[in-house]
Amino acid sequence: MIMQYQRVRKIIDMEVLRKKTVTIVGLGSLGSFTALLLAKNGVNLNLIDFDRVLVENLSSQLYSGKDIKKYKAEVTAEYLKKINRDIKIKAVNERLNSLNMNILDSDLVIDCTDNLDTRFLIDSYCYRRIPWIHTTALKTIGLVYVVDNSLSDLYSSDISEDLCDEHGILNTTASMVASMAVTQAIKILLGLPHERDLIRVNIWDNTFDKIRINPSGKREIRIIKLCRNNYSVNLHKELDLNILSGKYETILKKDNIIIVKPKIIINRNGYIIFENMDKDSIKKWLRFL
Amino acid sequence: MVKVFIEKENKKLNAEAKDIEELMKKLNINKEEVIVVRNNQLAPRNEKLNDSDEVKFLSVISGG
Repeated sequence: MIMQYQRVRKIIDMEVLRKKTVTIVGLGSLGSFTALLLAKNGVNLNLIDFDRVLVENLSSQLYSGKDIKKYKAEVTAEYLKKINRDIKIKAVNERLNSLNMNILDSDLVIDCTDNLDTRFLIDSYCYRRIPWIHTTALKTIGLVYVVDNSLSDLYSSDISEDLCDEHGILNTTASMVASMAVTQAIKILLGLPHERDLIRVNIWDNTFDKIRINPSGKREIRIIKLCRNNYSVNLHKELDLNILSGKYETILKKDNIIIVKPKIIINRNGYIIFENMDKDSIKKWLRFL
Repeated sequence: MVKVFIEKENKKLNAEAKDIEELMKKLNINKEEVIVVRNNQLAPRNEKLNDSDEVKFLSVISGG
């Protein structure tokens, strides 16, 4: 055991932890602090983010002025390699989508994204296969939830969000949420009992809520609003693209994906994006699938 | 009487309603924007309310 862990090993089993790999999706405020804490604890990392560093990221994320315009995943990986040479880090400069979801394969996934659409994509891949933790924050409020069943237990199909909104997070909120999430991550990786309730804090008011969620044992099919009039739906089932492309006017056909008119992007795994359609038309359309 | 907290407005008040759906209508709360917590437990919209229940309407947040 290398010297750097000689104190922390009295608290947690470093022999086990050093063999584990965690995937972090999103390297904004929550993701960059989460990655730092896991790296310090000797955990190997897969870092996923398609985005590049902007000047407005500097106050709440771990980047500095020289990182501007560089990929967040690459910058974070380089920085953390200097912090801990003992761990393996893989940087993926891609947006998580229905075709590259296997990049989530690891011992645990931590969702540090900024939108429900990607969160439900993680939900669809990790459901009863890979343990995962949902984290989110806004201004001075933060939330951590270990998803034992499905995220639809927390967000009913009524919920929508304005994804085009610019979000701001106080850096103290981000570091606190990351600390809570990483503590739960360590417990899961070590096979210890973890928190079952949703934890929600407001760091400004010093309020801390633990909210009980009763897993429904099933997954809802949700119509999730994206930017403008675009929606996504995950049917959680394999679709026969040959049959569908015969049935509908097809603009594009590939192995795992087809695009049909007006503009509906259908993935073989049941993940569908509807562009420029309203919710009622989508509901009618879904009846035929 | 139910004790209510609306996080978005940072407002505490007392109200009367037979279930959460009715309470949301009375208080003009947008169902797309909140998660509903009754006595520290996530509550479905059709859940009946009892006297002295504590209901919190917490804003959905999605930043990262």
